[in-house]
Order: sequence, then C-alpha cells, then structure tokens
Amino acid sequence: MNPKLIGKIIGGALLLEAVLMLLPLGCSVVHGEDLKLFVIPMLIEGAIGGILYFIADKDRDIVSREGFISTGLTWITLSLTGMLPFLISGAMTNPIDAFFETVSGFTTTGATVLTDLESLPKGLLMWRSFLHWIGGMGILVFMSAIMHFARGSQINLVKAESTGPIVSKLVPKADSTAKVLYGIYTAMSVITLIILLILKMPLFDAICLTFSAAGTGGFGVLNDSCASYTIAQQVALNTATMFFGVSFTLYFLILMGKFKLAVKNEELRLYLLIFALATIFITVDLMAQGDGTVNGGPLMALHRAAFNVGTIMTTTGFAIEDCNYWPGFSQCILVILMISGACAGSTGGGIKVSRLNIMLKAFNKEMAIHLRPEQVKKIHIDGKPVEDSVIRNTGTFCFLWMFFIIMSILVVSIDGKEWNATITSVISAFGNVGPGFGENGTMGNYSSFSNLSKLVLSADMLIGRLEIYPILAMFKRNTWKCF
Amino acid sequence: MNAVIVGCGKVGSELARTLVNDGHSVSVIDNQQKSLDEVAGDLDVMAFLGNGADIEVLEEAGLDDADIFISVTTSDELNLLACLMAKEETRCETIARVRNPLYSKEVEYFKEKLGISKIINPESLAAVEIFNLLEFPALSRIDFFEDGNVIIAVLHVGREFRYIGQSLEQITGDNRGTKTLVCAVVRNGESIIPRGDFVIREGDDITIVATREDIRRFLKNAGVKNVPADNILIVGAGTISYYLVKLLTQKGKRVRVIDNDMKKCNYFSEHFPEAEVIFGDGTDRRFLAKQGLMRADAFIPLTGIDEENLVTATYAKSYSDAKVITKISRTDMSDLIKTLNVDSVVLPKLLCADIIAQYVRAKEAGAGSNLATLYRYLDSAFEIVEFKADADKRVTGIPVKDLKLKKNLILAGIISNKTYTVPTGNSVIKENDYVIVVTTEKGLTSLSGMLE
Repeated sequence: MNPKLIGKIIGGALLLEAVLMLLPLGCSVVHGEDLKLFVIPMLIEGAIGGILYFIADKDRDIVSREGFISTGLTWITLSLTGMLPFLISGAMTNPIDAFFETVSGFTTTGATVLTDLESLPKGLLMWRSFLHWIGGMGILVFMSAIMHFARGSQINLVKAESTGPIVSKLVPKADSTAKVLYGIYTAMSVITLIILLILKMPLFDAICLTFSAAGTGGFGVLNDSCASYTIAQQVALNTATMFFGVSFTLYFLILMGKFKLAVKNEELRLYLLIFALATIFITVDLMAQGDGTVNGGPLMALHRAAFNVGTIMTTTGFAIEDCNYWPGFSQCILVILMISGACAGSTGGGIKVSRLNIMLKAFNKEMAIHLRPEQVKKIHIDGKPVEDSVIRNTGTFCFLWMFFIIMSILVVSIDGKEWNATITSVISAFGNVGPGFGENGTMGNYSSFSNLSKLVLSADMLIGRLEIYPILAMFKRNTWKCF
Repeated sequence: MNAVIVGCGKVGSELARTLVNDGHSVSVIDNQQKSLDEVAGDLDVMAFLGNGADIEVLEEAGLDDADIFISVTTSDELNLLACLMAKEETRCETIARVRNPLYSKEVEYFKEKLGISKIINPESLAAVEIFNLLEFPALSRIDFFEDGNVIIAVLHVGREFRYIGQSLEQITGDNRGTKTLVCAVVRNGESIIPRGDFVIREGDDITIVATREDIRRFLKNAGVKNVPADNILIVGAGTISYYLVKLLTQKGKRVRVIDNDMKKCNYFSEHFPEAEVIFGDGTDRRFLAKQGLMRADAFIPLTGIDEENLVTATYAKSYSDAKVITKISRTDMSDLIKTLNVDSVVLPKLLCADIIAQYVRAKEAGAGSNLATLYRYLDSAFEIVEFKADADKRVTGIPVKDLKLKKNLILAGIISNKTYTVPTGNSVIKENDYVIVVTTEKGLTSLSGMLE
C-alpha cells in the first residue's frame, strides 16, 4: 500500500474534475446564471487536488490492490466534491440528497431526488448530465489517457474502473488504450449530438441528453424525461443508448477493419437477441392486455416496448411514459433486463450480458459433467477456451450481486414502502438503471426515501458501477496494511 | 515502434521490459497463461495466448502493424518458423533465438536465404564473453566495437591498482603513447562521466576505451596482473560449455570439462578430442581438488543450476587463485551479483535481451541514422554509442575543443581508417570516421545530438 501514490491519483482526479466543471460553468455564463455554483467547487477541488497531486511520489508502480483502492476512493471523493454545485445552488439542502444525486450521476444510474427540474439553473442540469458522460467511460480511464502518474502499470487503474469479466487492452500501451476508448466515446457522442440536432432538438437539451445517452445514465432536463420529444427524437436517443451499451472493443475491431470478428461476437448477438425477444414479448403483452394506455396501434406499442427495453437493458432509464400502468408480465421483463444489463466494456451497467453468457455455458458444462462425471469439458467464448478462474470469478460475482441486493432490500424495507418500490429501487440502483416501479417509477423519483435508504442506494450504485471489488476492498482491513 | 515478442520466459519478459522502458508498444505471445499474466500484470504490454507460429494469433497480436518481430521461445524450430511467417506476412524486421550448436553453423544461411534479420544465440554470446574475459582475466567485463580491435573494458579497482589517489590527467600522462582513455566511472552505484581532475579511488568500477594491445600495456603500467588463462577447468557440459570449449581448444588452451552425465561426456569427447572430459560430480569439493582446481588458471562452473554454480564458484574463489567466472540464468537477482565473491558473472538471458534492445534502438534511429554500435550496461546509467560520421558540417572538420559538447557526455575515441585515436582538443572528426561517445543521456541517435 502506497498512500502517496493513491493521494496523487485522487489529487489528479480532483484537478481533472475542476477542469471538467468548466463546461457547466460555460453553460451558466451563456445563460447568465449564478457562477459561484461552479467557481467555489472548482477552487476547492483545485486546492485539495493540487496539494495531493504535487506532494506525491512519482514513478511508482500501481499494483492491483492500489488500483482498486484508489479507484474506490477517487469515486467517493469526486462524488463528495461533485455534489457541491447542488448544495450551493440551493436546489438541495440535504447533503445526503446531493450525494445521492451526484453518485447517481457518476455511476450513470440516473435516479433522482429532484422533483422539479425545469426550475433549476441550466448549468446545474448540464453538470448533472455531464456527470454521466464522465462516469460512463470512467474518470481514471480519462486520467490514464492524459496523465502519467505511475510507471507502466497504469493499466491496473483502467482495469479496476472498467466493467466485465475480462478486461483487456485494445493496444499494447495503457495510455493509448485509454486514448482509443475516449476517442471512440467522444466520436460517438458527437455523432449522437449531430443526429439529435438534425432532428430539431433544442441545443441545450441535445447536449445534455447526448451526455446522458452516451454514459447510459438517464438524467433528463424536462420533468417528463423524454415524453415530450418527438417519436423520431425518442428513437434516435434509444438507438444511441443501444450503441453505447455495446462493448467498445467491438468498435475498435470495426475501426481496425476486423468487421467479421466484431459481428461474430457472442455477447453482441446475445445482447441483440435479448433486446429483440423482450421487445416482441412486451409489444404482444401491451397489445393483448390493452390496459387503457395503449393508443396509436401496434406500431406505437412496438415503439414503446422497444424504447423501454432499450433504455432499461442498457441501464439508461429515460422515460416516455409511466410504466407503473403496464401489465405485470411486461413490468417483470423490465426488472429482469435491469439485472442482465448491457455488454461488458460498454458504459452500461447490470451484471453484463457476457457474464450471463459465461454462466449459461458454465451451467451447460456442469450439467454435462453431472451426467458423465468423467468428462473433461472446457467452455468457449468467441471460439476461445475460457480459463476456469474466469468462470469461478464470474460465479462469485453473480452471487455477490444477488447477496448485496438482498441485503440492501432488507435495509431499504425499513422505510415501509410497497414491495415493488423496495425491491426495484435496489435492483435499479445496483444495476445503475435509475427508475424502478412504484413511487420511484419511470415518472417518479426517490425524494420520499429516507436518508438511510438513500445512503444504502448510493453505496449500491457505487458498488454496482465499479463491479463490487474496488468498494469492498476498502472495507477489508488487510488492504490498508503496508505489507 | 511496434514490437511483437513470441515467448514470455526470462528472455522474453526481460526484453519486453527493456522495450517498454524505451517507449515501444509491445505485444507478447506465449502458450502459457501464467507467464502472460505475470508479464502483463507487471508491464504495459498486451498479452496473447497461443502458439507463436499460429497466423491467427499473430494477426490478433498486431503483426500487420509490427515493425519488429522477435521470437525467443525455447524451441529453435518454432522461433525460425514464426519469424519466417512474420517475414512473409509483413516484411518487418525479424529476430530469432537459435541455440542449437547444429544450427549455429547456418546463421548466414538463415539470414541470407531465409531473410531473417538477426539470429541471436545467447549461449554463444555468453561463451564469447567468457572467452574474452579469459584473455583479460583482470577485467570484469569486455566488449568489442565492430572491427574487433577497439574494446571497452570494465575494471574493478582493487588494492594493487597503482593509480589509486591519482587524477585522470596523471594517469593519462603516465600512459603517454598508449591509446587508452578512462571514460566512465561507477562509484557506489553512481554513474559518473569523469573530467581530467577526477581522482580514482579503490572500489571504483572504471570503463576504459582502448585498443586490444594498449589495454595490456595500461594494465601493466597500473600494476594489475593480467596473464591470459591457459589451464581452464569447466564444470557442466551444456551449450555454453560447447561454444566455449570450441573457442578455447581452437586457441590451443588446456581445457578440462567435468560433467556427471555420461551421455554429455561422450558427446563432448566426440566433438573435442583436444579437451579432457571427466565424468564425475563437479560440485564435490574433493573431486574438484582432485581434478586440479588449485592449479587451474580459471574455474568456470556452467551447470544448469544457478545455485550450484554460485556455491562452487564461491568455494573456488575462497580456496584457489583461479579466475572464477560463472553464469546465472535467472534475471531478477542481477543487482545482487556484485555483492558475491566471484570475479565475473555472465548473464546469458540479460545479454540476449540487451543485444536485441540495442538492435531495436539502432533500427529505430532509422536508415538516416548512422548509429553503428550501442552498448548499455545494466548496472550503470551509461550508454556507449558508436556513430559513423556523415558530412554534417556542425560536427565534421572542426577541432574537438571548438565543439560545444553536452555536459553529460565524453568523446571517447575516433576511428579513422581503422586506426583508433584518443581525441584531444585538436582532433578533428572527418567524414566516414567512426566516433565513440560515452554518455549518461539515453537514446542518443545521431552525432549532432551530442552538441548542446
């Protein structure tokens, strides 16, 4: 354990956050709003970050333990400083609310405690959405792309922050890998923005929603989320989130001209299959049940189903209607999608489709071994054998996922809310989705939850986004020992 | 540059470390996940599981964009095959490790007919290094420039060194007429480019550039005993021993080789009728004494086991006057070797990684560069670089005293028409001269780079 190195990383991240606040600051300038919202936090971040960054050691190796710890600490620190604009603006008075909102932003969850967005300063709304964009690909990945704070082993930071059962580089160098990732991310964001602008979305809305869609976060700028946008705009947003829910490795492969390899990717196929099946089932269910909200015929039902399936399975959480009025079968499908999530190595959350793929194959393998105990069987993903350690890790990960969800449900249930709100709030927070069912539904928010629940849900969002270990590692005593 | 390395053992990972530190993009391929995990967890490289001669794996590892392809697996045949495939696919530079003595005769064939850029044979390199050290037992390390006449010698200053307490100017004065130059000193782990007023102390490691003949005279003047070893006792009949015995017997030295494997003994006996081959346990001290350790000029344990080599070397050093040279395969303890009571230690794997890294550096400098040789010492911060002077008006035709040289750099020699001269203030570098530069600055790629 090397406290100075960790200090340097956190310091660097704080400085970066201060720089990133220039964007909402600019927005505030354009709209003639109160500037202290961002100036004060920037000064604080600059001061603390500067001190931490410049007293620390250079040229140290980051081992995986330090990668985990600094990732966990960085995310918590940045959430604590990132929440300052909310408090200074007076939009929130309770620090726990502000923390919840900021964590929800960074982890690309999109769960909000705010009830009236349209009355907030534009700069603050942009900061909220920008948090998604920063957290989507990861702040430390960004740092790795532009700063050199450790010898050669910066990949351990990228690894701790990236999602999926196997994190591998795209190019041999860690910083180049981070640059490639952010390059693709930025390019795709720009394309999304341009498409939204072509579809005549107002500039401010388009920028914020691009950030939210790119990070698969889900913060909107209107009180009804996306319901008042045109169908074309909704389709564009949803398509964008579906693209951001795909592993960025595949985009890299396509850029490299290895189109075949990208198309043959099992995770992508499973991801699209889940999307298609869920959409079809929900469309049919919506049509069959005809529960009074169905209007516009089968095409409209298809659009509503596709939008909600896309936004939930990529763990974005945009809303175009109140799904609390949906038939139970469709609701249930959405809850399952919250758990399965998007692809590994994307900006989406959930367990990840690739883990699902591994576990299904592992199940198949166990089954075969039960029937014929002498059999030796390896599982293959994309035609490559998977190490047993990966299967073991994935199994443990899935168990931990469920374990934390169940424990959190227990704590949140103290609030005495209905079953659906209690359970879906936790699943939604852990999967970084945003909305659930009940008062925290697609059109609702989390303002009525108690402080304890908000803290637990904030923790769940962080644990879910960082895939459990970076946050948990901080609570293990051994991690902090110098040996 | 983009490098692909096949084989992630000691050589491969050491090479990857050097190349990464030099700023190259490195992909490594190995057929064992464990080796890959170790390297990828440690270094900024991309790791790929698979066989180095599997075109799919190679392409995945980025062969298409590779500038240099290096195969250093334990199998010569695989290395050659992988290089051939890489060559065929991309026309990049290829380097193969080939160790089998049988193939070592075919190096020229591999290069010319098969188009492999470089064949590297660590065992043979180690043998040559040991052989040179036996010619100059007083030195702890010796390297040759391209033409083989000018050498870089590293001497550990012991008590018998007559110039202790004297400045370099005095030493130069004493050696007037010989072409020698003390150009670098390592003192307590610190690398120093010495000036004329620098005073030598006991325990320094001094680097001398000189001609082959003059180094002998320098050592004589300095009071350092330097009698080439004639009676040589070697333990272990492995590959290094093979190349070493071959060199020694050609020179007419008396060589005795001990091994406890009858098959190897027979093999050596078939190949080297001039050498004495002894069957027995070369790590047993009584047995060694019986085989004439006390009367040997040099004792060289070269078994396959590092620990055995070190133990017998330490024993021999304590109980005999022989020059003791041994080799160590593991690379991670190289900084500890200096603390051992052994005259010289040869590290074939590091040697191999280092030579490839030099080759890459020279290639990186590009066709426009005239970097001829580059030596890097792992235990010091120096680089010794040999350049061929081009018609650069900033450097050529000007007396050395008028060149504004960088502070951390010394001009250690000018080789003009195969004659070496120690540069003085009035020396002039001419076009097509070879210029030797000693510097602590890494990555010097051209002669004009030595100017302020």
